[in-house]
Amino acid sequence: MTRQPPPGDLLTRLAEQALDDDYATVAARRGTDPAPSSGVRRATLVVFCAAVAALAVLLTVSAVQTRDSAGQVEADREALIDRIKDEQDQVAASQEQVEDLGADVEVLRESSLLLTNDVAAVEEQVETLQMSTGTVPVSGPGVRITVDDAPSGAASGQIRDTDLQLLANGLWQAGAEAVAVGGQRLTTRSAIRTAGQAITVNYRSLSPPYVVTAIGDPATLPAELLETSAGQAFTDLRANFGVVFELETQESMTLPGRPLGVTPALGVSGPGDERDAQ
Amino acid sequence: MIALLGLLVGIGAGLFLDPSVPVALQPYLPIAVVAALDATFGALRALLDGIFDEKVFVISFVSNVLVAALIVYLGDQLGVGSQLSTGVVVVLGIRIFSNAAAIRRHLFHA
Repeated sequence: MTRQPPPGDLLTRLAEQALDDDYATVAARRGTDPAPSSGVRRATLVVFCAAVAALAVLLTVSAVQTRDSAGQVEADREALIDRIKDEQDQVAASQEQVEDLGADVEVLRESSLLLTNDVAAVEEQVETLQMSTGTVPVSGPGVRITVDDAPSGAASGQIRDTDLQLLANGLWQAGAEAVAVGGQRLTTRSAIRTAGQAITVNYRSLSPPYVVTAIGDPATLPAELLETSAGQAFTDLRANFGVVFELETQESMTLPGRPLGVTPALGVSGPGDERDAQ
Repeated sequence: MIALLGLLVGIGAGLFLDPSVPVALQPYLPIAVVAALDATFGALRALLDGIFDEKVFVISFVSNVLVAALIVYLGDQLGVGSQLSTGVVVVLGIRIFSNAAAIRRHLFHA
């Protein structure tokens, strides 16, 4: 027996052929075939019973399984939600940290700007101080003073260390920025004094005539010097004892530097000891 | 009567023995259940039509479950397991619905 598929689309055919064809086939054959023996009939019943039991087992296991896994799924979901919340908290914390650090960076940048300005100011100050303390060479316009013993050779006409000290202080007082005596730059640790017959500056013996050079404004420095007590004293010396005192301005001159750390007492000569001032 | 006995025995076995389904077989369980339900509804309709036969039911039940599981297994191997599962569920669902409609017509003559 063959059944033609009913017309229509797939879904319609599916719905109309919902019942297995076998039922109709077997039912049609049952009319013609001889009835099965009672043994066969019993075996069929047992198999049928087993099939129904299998169906029940399937349904039950499936239901139990689904109910069990539902709890597990729910737990998984909760755990996942917890984790998401944790991560979100962490992200928020990190965000806050980023903001804090950004503010810190801003503050540090500002203070770094201030420090840069400070450093520039200090460097400028160091440069100025290096010039006046005599640790670096200085060039510029200035005056050149030549002092010498009186040509008469009288003892009273000899230049003494105190005279040179007076002159150096007078130059500082008159506004000199750097002073050198006999090519020896005067630093914060320099001394002008007599040792034996000679006058020493920076532990170097000098001999007359003594050349004193000073960096400063050539227009005002000589006049200012003559107004100080040193200037007065030398004017008197020249007038009374015939001491040589000549002052000339120079457009450009260079005074040597005398770096710190040089220990002249040990006889070590630093670069500042060269007599290149003239 | 004997069918009811089988049903009770099956439910009892499922509940008390609590067999755990191996993880590898878990995706096939729902499909097997749907296939079994399809066979069951077909059997009920045949019973009401007066053409029910135990042998046909057993064969249709076993083959439905096996074929459904096989299709899903094949789909898994091809990487379209979920789509094929959906297809099987749709086809079997349509059959279940139309069989249920026939049963309803028989019972209520509507």
